[in-house]
Amino acid sequence: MNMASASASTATHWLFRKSSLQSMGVLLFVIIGSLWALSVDTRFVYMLVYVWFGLAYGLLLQYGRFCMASAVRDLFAVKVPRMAVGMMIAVALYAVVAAIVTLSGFSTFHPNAMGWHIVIGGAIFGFGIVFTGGCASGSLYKAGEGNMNSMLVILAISFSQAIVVTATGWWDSLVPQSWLDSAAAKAADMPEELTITKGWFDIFTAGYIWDLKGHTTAEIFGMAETATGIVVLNTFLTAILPVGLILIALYAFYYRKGHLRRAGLTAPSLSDELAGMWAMCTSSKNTALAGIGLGILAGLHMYVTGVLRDHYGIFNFGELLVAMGYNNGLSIQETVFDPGYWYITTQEAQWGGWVMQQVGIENMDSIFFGLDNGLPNPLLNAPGFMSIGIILGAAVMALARREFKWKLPSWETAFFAIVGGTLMGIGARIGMGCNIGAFFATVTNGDPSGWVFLVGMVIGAWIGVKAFTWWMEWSASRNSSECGL
Amino acid sequence: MQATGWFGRFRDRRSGLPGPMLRDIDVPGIGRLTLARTVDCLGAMCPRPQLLTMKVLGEVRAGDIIEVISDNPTAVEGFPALAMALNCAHLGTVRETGHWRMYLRKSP
Repeated sequence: MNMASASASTATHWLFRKSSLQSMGVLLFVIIGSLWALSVDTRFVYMLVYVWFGLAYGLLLQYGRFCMASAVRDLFAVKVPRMAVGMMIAVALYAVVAAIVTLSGFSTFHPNAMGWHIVIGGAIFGFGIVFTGGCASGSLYKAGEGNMNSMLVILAISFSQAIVVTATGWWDSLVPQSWLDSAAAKAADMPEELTITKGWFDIFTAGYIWDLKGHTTAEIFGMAETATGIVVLNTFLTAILPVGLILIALYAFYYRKGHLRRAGLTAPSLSDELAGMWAMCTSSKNTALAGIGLGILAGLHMYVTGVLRDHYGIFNFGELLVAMGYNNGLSIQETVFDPGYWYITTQEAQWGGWVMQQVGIENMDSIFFGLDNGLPNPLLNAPGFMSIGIILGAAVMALARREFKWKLPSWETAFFAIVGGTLMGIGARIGMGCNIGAFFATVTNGDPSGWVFLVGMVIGAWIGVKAFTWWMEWSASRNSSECGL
Repeated sequence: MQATGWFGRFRDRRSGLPGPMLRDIDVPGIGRLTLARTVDCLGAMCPRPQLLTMKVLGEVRAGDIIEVISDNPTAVEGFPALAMALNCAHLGTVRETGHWRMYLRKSP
């Protein structure tokens, strides 16, 4: 690969270039903001952990152009396994660090309920990402590169989720009677503020999800408390083995033929094949390095949050907020959304839900906001700051590499961003998360439901690529311009 | 008028590119190239740059060189890997202010 710079080298040292200074300015802004928050109350350190891990995720995502949407999409669209390989590297590393964190007793992870909803949600989400040009975390880091299309996607994800989880009326006819009956049976035990038999998502949650169980593989075999269960069943069987099999499959189906042709091999030995797999994993160094960094950081994030919870004697940030005198926006259980690990979509739903609440749309009677996640002010939304951290971290890296550019969408991409982002929001809520919360964080912690989500995402992306290709050909046939509408 | 200019930016780009036409250019760090086609993907989100490149590579002859222009860092990152998958040589990527130019030669 030959990378050359068209512009003659300028006299200004890179450190004093305008974009480098802006990059440092963004970093300084985060540092000053952090110090200010600590000066108000040192307990804000809990929130700052989210901010700084978010910032680090953003730096690495932009550095490796770590687009998880392309991981599944490119396999079908252009038959390129680059990003799928990067994602698998990240999964393997995260799984190893997660094992150490779990063994040390500081894991913050909770498995997702396993059911058909995960495939369906994953498929809707996977279909959406083909049209938005980025997944949930991808949209955040691309927003940090100045891409306004991705900002539209984030808005669409935020509001579509908030609307989906609180919608009622005709939406309620979407759910089967059996779920309504099951929800009604539980209504008596619920706080008065909640109306769990009204609103399709409440009925879905109370009448379907609550009847399901979520387990890590070690829990299924009754070995969750043992080192063998954590290392062998959760880490090896649920994460490392599937990653190895997927890498072999990616090599066999997408990389092997071209590699053997380039190497001039007709009868490859096992060592040739292994060299080929290594070449596949290292073909895009930035992506591989980002995968390694993201995997390790995601594991460390759980550890640091776990240690802080232990230090403050809390299970949830809501308790800390109450202790600091912030009582607004907490759920009935006095909790807020606080996963303690990398997560994207729920905090974005809270942004949308909070704005709706401010303009007078009551959202706190829903299970999602009222009982589980709360609707904190975005200035006190800890995971929300992780998302903002990702945007700022990506901006720091993009500015430092002179890749930051304000980009306005065309009408077509804006339309795709809103429709695709809305589908991503709907899919994320039905599937209990996005490619991060429902896949990346789950499979690495021994919860096999993440692989089910990935299967759904692959199905959705496959259909999405077909639809997108059809759209491109149809619109190209209407005008001769190659990159126009 | 300012407002027209603002809304004009939202309007779909009509790049008005030349069709299949050979032209010679000097590429810093690579040398003199004869381009068969240029694929202008400025402002395009993935997977459009990749799909357009695939389409154009399907239309040119073996040995032809095409130029792909993109301002999407994620798409640019993936082009060397894309070139491998599409059986063409990635001759190089040239960085301009705010975008990149990539040169691919279709292999026989």
